[in-house]
Amino acid sequence: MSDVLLQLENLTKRFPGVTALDHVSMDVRRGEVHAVIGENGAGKSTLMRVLAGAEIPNEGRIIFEGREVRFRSPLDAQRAGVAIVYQELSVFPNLSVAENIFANRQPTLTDGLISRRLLHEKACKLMDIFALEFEADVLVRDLSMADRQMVEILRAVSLNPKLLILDEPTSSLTLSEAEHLFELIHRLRETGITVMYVSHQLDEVLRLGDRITVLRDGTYVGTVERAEANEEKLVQMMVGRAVDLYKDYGFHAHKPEVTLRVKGLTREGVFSNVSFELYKGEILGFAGLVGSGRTDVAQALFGLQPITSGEIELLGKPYIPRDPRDAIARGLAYVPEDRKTVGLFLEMTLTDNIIAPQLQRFTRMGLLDDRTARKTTEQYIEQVGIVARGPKQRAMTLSGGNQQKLLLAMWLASKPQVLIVDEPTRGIDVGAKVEIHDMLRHLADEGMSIMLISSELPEILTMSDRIAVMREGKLEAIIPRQEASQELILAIASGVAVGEHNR
Amino acid sequence: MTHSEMAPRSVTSESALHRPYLLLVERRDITLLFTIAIMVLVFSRITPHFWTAMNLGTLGLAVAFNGIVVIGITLLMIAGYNDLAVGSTYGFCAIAVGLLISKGFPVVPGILIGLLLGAGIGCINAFLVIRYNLPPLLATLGTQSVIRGALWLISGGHSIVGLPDSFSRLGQNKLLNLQWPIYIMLVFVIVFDFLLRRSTFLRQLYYIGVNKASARTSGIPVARVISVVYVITAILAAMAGILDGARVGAVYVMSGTGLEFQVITAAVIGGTPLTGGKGTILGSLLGVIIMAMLTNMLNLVGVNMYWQNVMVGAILVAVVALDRIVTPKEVR
Repeated sequence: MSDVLLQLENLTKRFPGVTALDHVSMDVRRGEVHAVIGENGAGKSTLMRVLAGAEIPNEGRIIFEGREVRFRSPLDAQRAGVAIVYQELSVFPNLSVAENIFANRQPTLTDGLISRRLLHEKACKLMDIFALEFEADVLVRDLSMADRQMVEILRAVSLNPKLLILDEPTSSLTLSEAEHLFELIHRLRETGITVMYVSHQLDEVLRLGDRITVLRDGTYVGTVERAEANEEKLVQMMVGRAVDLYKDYGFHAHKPEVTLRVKGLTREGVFSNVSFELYKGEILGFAGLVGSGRTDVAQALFGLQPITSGEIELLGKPYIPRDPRDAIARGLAYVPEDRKTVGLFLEMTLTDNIIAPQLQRFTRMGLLDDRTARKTTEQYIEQVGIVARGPKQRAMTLSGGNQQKLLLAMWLASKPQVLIVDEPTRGIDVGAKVEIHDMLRHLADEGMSIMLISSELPEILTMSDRIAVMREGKLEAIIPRQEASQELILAIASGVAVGEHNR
Repeated sequence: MTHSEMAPRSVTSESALHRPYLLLVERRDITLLFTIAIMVLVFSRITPHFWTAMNLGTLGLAVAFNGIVVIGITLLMIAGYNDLAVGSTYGFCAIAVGLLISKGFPVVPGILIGLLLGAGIGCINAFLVIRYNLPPLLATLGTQSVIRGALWLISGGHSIVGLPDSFSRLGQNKLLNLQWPIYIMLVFVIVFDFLLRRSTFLRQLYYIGVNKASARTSGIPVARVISVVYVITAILAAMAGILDGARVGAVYVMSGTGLEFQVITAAVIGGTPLTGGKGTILGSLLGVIIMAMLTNMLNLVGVNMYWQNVMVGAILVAVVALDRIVTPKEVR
């Protein structure tokens, strides 16, 4: 038996107007974790969909286990031994874990009825292999996102696949949840399943992949062994040129004025006694695990969540958050982390999006001044560097990076003095990320105060002047940039080290 | 080459914009006008009674009342909300005004009281939907039944006939051979169409319909906007009901029954999906006209009521299905 499980030769997939895969040739070895990385739109997902039988290639050959295969449907691929877990979860929340794993393939008795006992036993057996911590009979809706992902993966594993494809499995997971997933992947490999792991997160790929294949613009760039790979090399392959991914911006002295002073801010059961000061021209990073209360504090300041107690001073005036409208009027802006569900208006035009937070400013005698709105939009498209055909283009037709820039533009156009950004570069390509970093630094240098919430430690470390670390709803420490390190922040964020409240 | 030039690889959008029929999807009003023109041509072929001054007057009147009600429904539907109580509001306020006037109450204050009752009903709907966060369809299904019941209670089940001329003049007086309600409807349609396109307040409905969470984060006062629109919708329904009563010189207890489905159907045909986010008043009016022409035609050729229901329902399903088929996923 050869050690190559899957071989692709000149695989090409065209969509009207676009070649999503352009003569891609690569191979996957039996038993390895093979990571596939590339920017948004590099063709990763299309490739996986072709392998899973969800798309039919226009050209090229797929050789699986030594013979050529043609998958006409997902079922074909499944029968041949290819299972895929897509980025979007497709679990049934109101069914139990066992029912989800064996959905539509429940073990039956001779009379054709489902045997709950057998179902439970089979599920438990499978779950034991992966040492999962939840029971087979709990409802999936009671599970965390990470555990749901595990259920989804188990469902694929229960098909006894030879090749398991995971498409961006960590995109909805927190750091610690992702850890859990990585362990599961290690166990998968031990059981002999070959895994293709699709991601655009460099650190994940470097950690998990035995070999790493890079795609760019629908073409195959190359495959490297993990031992030879590092971040710079991968980025260069992904982007096609050398990019300084995390520029060290250095410490920037802020102005002496405090723009936002928060004292003892508490929301019962969510966060408590949060106090900090934000200076003019400063970037204050907020680090912590997802769920540590960073987003909740930000939303509370913006009037999207209630507060139980605490005092806030905004630009020298006492401030009690009421609603976003009031917050915007007072010079506060909040760029939410999820641009698709709570950020943008995807079906609307760029102009509609840009003016949304400040409709009043574009109103003359009750009517919307479309000309000023369009001019402002053009100005911000230019300033933020959105690649678009014009102000009338719809937001949904922009790439992820450009959507994120649009979201920023929308809030910059409201001319805030205090800007809260929540995960400003999640899920966007490397180039756009660097541009957004540059922009934020520039805005701070011009005197804007920025609260930067990020789960990416390198981002926090290179961007921030000071770093606030939150854990379980409490602000544990504020560390000056010079003393901060990835280890220290992680230690405080996970409760290993107790942070001193030094300023 | 910068990264950004190669980043956008959305497979669908660009190519979709080159498909010409998409223009028709985007410019729904043109498609509708075209449909109406074809219907006129075909209908006048089928029967000589269609394209006559008298029938067009009847048609205009039929459009007038639903045309007023559809304005409010469209506003709500664009924001992703709905009001199933417009039909009973229409009937209830008309009956109330009829009762007052038939008991000798002066006409103008009587009508004002009717409109105020409408406003009150709108407040109740808004309260249930906004304050208690009830699903709009369920909440207004409830108020629909309550109001219809109240109508039967205050009227004792009797229609109110023989209303004075001072009242019925409102619905019967003519200008250029067309009754006043037609002009009233046109004025409201033009005003609201303009406001929906241009005014900041009503444009907020699109934002709410496209993404309520984003709207909230952007500081759009969702609760206030929706409440106001519920009140507008109910007042318009009340006004249409009262005008309908004036036109006949009588108010029937069945007045407005099933009206909510007629106007929702018209709005959907006119390009406002139940999920909200798009739609225009003009489109909805064209939807009302199409529905009215169809009913009118079926009446002229003597198709019975039951078959008419079957056909109207079938057309609604066909339009929605056609929308799904021709609209590419990314424009939906």
